[in-house]
Amino acid sequence: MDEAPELLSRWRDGDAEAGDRLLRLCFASLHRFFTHKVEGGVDDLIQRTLLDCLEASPDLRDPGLFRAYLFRIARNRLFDRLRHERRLGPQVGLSELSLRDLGASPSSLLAEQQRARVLTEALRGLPLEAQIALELTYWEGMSAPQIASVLGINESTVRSRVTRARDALKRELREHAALGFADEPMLR
Amino acid sequence: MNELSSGADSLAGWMGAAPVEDDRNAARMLAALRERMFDRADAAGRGLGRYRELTRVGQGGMGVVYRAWDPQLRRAVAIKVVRGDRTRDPDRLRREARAMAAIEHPNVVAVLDVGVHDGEVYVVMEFVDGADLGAWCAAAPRTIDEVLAVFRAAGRGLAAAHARGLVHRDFKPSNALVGRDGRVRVTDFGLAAVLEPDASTGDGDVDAAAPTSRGGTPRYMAPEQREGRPVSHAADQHAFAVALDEALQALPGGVPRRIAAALRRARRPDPAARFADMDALLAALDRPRRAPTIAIVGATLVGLASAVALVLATDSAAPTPACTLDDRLDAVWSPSRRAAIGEAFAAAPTGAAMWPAIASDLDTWAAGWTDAARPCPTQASVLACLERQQTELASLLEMFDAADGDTVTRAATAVQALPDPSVCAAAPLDDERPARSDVDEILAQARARWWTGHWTEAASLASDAVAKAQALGLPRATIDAEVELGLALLRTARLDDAAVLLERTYLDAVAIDHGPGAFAAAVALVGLVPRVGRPADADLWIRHADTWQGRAAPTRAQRIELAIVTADAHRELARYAEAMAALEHAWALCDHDEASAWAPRIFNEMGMIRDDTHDLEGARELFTRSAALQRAQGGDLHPQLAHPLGNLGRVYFELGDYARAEVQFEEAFRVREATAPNTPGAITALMNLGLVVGDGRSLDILRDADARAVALLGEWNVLTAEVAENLAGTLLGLDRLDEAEQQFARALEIRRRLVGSSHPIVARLEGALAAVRDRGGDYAGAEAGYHTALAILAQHPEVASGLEVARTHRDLGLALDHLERYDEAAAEAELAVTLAREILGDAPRLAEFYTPLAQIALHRGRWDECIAACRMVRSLGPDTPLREGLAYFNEARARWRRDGAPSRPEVLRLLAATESAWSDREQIGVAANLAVLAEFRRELEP
Repeated sequence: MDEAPELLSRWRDGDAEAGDRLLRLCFASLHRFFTHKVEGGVDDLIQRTLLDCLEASPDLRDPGLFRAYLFRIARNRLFDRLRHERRLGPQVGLSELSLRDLGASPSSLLAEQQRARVLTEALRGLPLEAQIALELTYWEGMSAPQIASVLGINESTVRSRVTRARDALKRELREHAALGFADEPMLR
Repeated sequence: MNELSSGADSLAGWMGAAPVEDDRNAARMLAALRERMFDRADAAGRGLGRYRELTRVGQGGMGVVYRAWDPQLRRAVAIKVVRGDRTRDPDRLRREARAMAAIEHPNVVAVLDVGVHDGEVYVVMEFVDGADLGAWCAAAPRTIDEVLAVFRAAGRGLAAAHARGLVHRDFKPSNALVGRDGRVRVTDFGLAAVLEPDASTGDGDVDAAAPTSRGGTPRYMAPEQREGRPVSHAADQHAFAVALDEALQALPGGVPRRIAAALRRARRPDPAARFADMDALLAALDRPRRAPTIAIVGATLVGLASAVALVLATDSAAPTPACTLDDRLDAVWSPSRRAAIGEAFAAAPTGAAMWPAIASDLDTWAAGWTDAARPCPTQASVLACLERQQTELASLLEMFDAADGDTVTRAATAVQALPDPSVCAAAPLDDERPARSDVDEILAQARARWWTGHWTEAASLASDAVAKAQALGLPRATIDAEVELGLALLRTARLDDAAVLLERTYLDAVAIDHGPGAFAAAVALVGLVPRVGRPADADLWIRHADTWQGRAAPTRAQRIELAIVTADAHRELARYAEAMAALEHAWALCDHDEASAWAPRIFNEMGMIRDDTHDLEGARELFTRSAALQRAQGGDLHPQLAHPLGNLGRVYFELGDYARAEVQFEEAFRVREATAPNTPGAITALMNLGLVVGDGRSLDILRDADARAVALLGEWNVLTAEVAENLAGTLLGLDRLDEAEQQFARALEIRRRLVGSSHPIVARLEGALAAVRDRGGDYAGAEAGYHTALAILAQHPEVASGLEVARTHRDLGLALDHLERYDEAAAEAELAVTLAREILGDAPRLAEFYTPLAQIALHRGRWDECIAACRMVRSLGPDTPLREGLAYFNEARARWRRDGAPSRPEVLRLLAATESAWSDREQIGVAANLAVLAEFRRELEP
């Protein structure tokens, strides 16, 4: 991601090659972020997120900030979409609701993967903000200050939310993981 | 870097389950986004073989045309991706493309490769920098002679195709390209015939220049083609004549009568009334010869190849000094040989995909050899070296002529292992020549067999060479032959013989200062000694090999081989950093070229090191890369692909990602099944697949693996034992106790026969069998089994896992508890706790040892002990809901029995906690224990 600010600025200057590279650079993270939160239209969300990046012109002299910037936009796009789909007004605090509360179903992409399905289901039971905090921590390897910047809350709040989210996820997992993982197969 | 997720946390394992970045759907989405946002095709995502940097350069009726880069041949190529819905029959298209690839003519665009990806067929062609014939005609005022010359060149291209029985079916100005070099090349042979009707022409707006349902383009199409009758080369004549007439009509001054007459004849409705063939038409179009100079000028304009031919012709007419060496390899490597071998390769599963790259490597090698031979060297040493190398090539190509699966698999490496012709210029004088040329010839044959995997034959030839060299009294030739023999023995599993021979040969080579022999023997020994139980000796041989490397002028192949075997030796000795460094060196020797035949192997080996050092993420990346490179080089069914795929499956398995593990094992099995069915490798792949599949197919797959193992290797075999053991484990998971017991007993019996009754592996099976008996109610049988297992483990303190011993004592305790021998049971359970605690400390897993202790104490009436054990379990943080509940329930029962009625409120509270832990009745064991709990509640009623 270190080269992302450079690519973004070149893309802004009309260098499509740089835009293409930026897309490839961010794709996996964004795909992971959106794919089990919405039903279809993930490609649109990714495209809009990147175009939003292009339009805003933040101070990105510190490359470490780019990731937070990207996910801040992704989160806004996601919330827009959920509000739109559920016809929710801005007064509804999405952060504290979970996807399950919202009745959103995930893309079917992961449905065949039992373990991933359990995890997805468990994550969907968490408040959205907590879910996003956990995902950014584990999947994107982001630090508390970075996540704080994505969610627009302070660092110590992030820490306590991640801790709580972790416990909540464990509870969720225990509920959903009534699966036959007891007998680990033997491999050569 | 990741402060929030640090610490031992089982969540990390869970959170690893979801990322989907290498999912096929994701790749497709990325490709679509790139196309939508940046008008770009994604070579990586859509995986168009090895081709990179695809840029769209045009869109035709049949699909999209890209310009791309071929990193292997280091040149630009054009790729036509035929739209999926346009391909009536991909196999047929591939056959056609293969036929096209067989046409080698200066006026035909060379087809380099054909592939299928995601239902889309793509054809890779040489990239022609220039314009099509229509654009060329319009680009500048042209004379009749120029137009005729260009069309005649295109016509020669058509004639070449006809000579191979191929009809173009859609010749038109846009299908002939005029390069910047002036050369005309016809493209898209036969493609029209294999395409479905274009959906866009169904709206009534028929474009006369677009191909139709019968292939071809109406304006140029012959009547028989338009009417759907059989089409021959005469149809191409018709199209060619229409196009030429069109071009000539556009010129000022009209069409000469003689030309017009010829074109009329070529356009007759009855194909039989046209010219006999394309050549006849071209002859009729030829203007009466005026002066040869004009013909030469025309030739330079029209076709570079014919111009070159002219120049060469004059050259060879001039007196040149006689050269003893023929600087051409034509007798060995020629277009016809290439086509013949291409056909032989096409018979193997991956051969067709691999051949173009291999052929081009051969071209490169041949060009290098020709460069070395062209100056007509006169020193005997140089000549001998070049001749020897030519013999090596000839021997290898003989193997290719009759290529079997082994040969095809290893062909790429074999070609890349050919000696480097440029070293011949500095070849030292060898006083054993020419006497040893007979020996060299046999050795070349042996080497060709060795590199193509025919090791038994290689050994027998090398042995002949040794005898011959000794008979001729040639010490260096003898050593060279002995090294070859040693290498072949090594591959035929005669490891000890190989070690003895190579060590002796090494000393002989040193004694007569024969550098190449000493080096080759030392390299072989580096890889060999760890496999004959002397891994520590590898260091010594690595030093010997390094010492001789400078004096032996080793080939690149030899140096890469040395680096890889050195890495293996280091890995064997658990020196992972050194092993990695050696592989990095090997990779550098490949010039970091992903097209190198060694690249997939190098990355696979790197992955194994990461795996050994528990860097699963690193291993995953490397195995993935290895598999991708192997695919790019050899297609989806290359036998070597099974290694990285299987390794990848194992890594995903270790990461707990069973879904991905399943995908990889399935792929690995598919490769094995296609290339080497009924081999231990294929059965192992099937077994691994059976262990990870998630949808109930597990048992069927394992039974299939079992049947295959027995059919291939019989009952008394390690593999059969492993399959039986895994089958048993799966049956146990399904609660089919009788069958599980039967399979464990079978695996045990096989192992006993193979390794004796006191092997640690037998202990594991005795324990497993006892556990099944215990679950089935045969407690005495279980007790006996656990005792046997413990007795065996006691004999092997060096390999027995402490935890395994502790568990066996614990399980023995539970069996004794069931037998109501409580004091013995308690002793075993306490011993288990003590042993486990030494290993685990106070980890939550210790709960699995305290829970039985509590239960036995309860049965013994030791209420305080029971309560203490229950509280211990709770303080450890029990690892399953069942154990959590048992910790409350057992304490409740102990309290009630000890304190009676006054303890009722506390006991009821404990029972409520129990039920809360057991809220999920589906958890293993919960339902049965809830029944016991209900009974106990009745006991509590006043």
